Amino acid sequence: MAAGEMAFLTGHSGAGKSTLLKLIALIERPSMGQLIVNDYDIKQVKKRQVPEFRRQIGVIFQAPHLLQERTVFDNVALPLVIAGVSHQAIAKRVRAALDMVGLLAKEKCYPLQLSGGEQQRVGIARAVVHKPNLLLADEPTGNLDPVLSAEIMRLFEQLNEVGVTVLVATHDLGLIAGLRHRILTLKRGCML
Amino acid sequence: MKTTQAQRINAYFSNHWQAIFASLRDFIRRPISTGLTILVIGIALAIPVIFFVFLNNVTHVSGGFEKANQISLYLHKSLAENHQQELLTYLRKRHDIAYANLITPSQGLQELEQMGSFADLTELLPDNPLPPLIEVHPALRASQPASVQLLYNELKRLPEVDSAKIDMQWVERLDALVNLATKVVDGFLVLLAITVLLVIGNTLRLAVQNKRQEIEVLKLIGATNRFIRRPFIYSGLFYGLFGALIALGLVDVLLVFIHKPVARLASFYHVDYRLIGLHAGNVILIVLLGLVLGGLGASLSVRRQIAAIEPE
Repeated sequence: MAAGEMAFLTGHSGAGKSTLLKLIALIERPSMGQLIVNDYDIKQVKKRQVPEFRRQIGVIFQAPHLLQERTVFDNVALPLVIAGVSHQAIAKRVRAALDMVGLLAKEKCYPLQLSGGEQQRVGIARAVVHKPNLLLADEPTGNLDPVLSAEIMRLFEQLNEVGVTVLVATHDLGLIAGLRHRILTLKRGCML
Repeated sequence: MKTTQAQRINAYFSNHWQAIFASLRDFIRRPISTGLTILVIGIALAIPVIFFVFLNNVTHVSGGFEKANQISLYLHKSLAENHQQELLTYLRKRHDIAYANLITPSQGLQELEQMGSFADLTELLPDNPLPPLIEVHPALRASQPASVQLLYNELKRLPEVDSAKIDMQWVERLDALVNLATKVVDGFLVLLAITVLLVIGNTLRLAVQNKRQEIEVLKLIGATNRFIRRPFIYSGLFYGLFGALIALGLVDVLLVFIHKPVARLASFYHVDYRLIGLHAGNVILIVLLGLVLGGLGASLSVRRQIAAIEPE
């Protein structure tokens, strides 16, 4: 995949979509083969370099994985807090990210006060707030209705337009059929 | 993302503040379990401190008995008064004697009468049965038990002396007892320090387990182990700090409680004894001990556990 590209990763359940994304995010380690992400050879990344590496990518899951005890604002701010960004810069960038997903008015809410689609959008804001150059999404629309799903996809396209490389794993072929991006298909762990 | 040095330092401190607030927020969220844990730590720390205060008072009291390290020389009753004075002058000149007092038979009788129970002694007794007495107080450099013993042996053999008495055996015994008790208290301190370590370690181990999902999310977005560990370490420090404060409070309450009985006991010995509490140095030391145990307990239990958690 080239930098700045947007692509979909499809295939049946168990074909290895999630595994590939997990390999890229260093959640799982490859047993063989070669994988190069952001000029890093995944096999060469040492354990203590993992946090640094993960800060350069954004990951979105089927479940939004938000911290229930923190507000929407604090959830989105987390990657910046971790990276050691100053207070003022954090506020500015968190609001920009929330504005992009249309949730600026809900920054003081807690995740449980939001609908599923809204939570997913908070997750997306969190994944892009630190301006990663690679965004991975694993079934991001799995729990959402078609209208919301289409909305989320438009969000990804917007991000791609500003230069983020986006890789979305989904089995919802209907959803991506109308979008003109490269489709990568996996079958039993092999790329077709 | 480029950040300047100043921004990074700024962010570092705000990270610590956030960790401090996060750990305090967790305390407030679970007031009962947090309170109980702090109470356990407080009691565990208070026990050795109470022993320490007790021993401190005992040594102080027994220090007051140092003057019991005196040698009483009972002179021959027939010794003329000028000879008594000569002996006194000789003793006062010696370098190993701090001072010496002569108590004539009539003075001795007066003292007895003043003590109350022997009021009409003079009327009861045909003549004064008391011998002249010289109280000898060894000089400071000669006040070691062994040198006092030497001095005693020498003075006993003076021709003017009928008999001599040295009253220090029980002081030595008390000394030995206090030494033993100090060792026991040290042992207590070690055991209870380990207790505090275990309590804090176990409490935070459970806290990490409860936050497993949160930790996974944090790791997923690139948090370092150190970052994730920070609030837990602060929790440990706060447990230790609050536990130490509770311990100090308990010791204070105890001192207030035993103040009256001690004063009553002291009144039997005609002394106005005031209990020695903890001075500022002790207080600081106890607070530091709490902080060290808290931080250490947290670090020991949390470090490996957090390192082992990986997102799935």
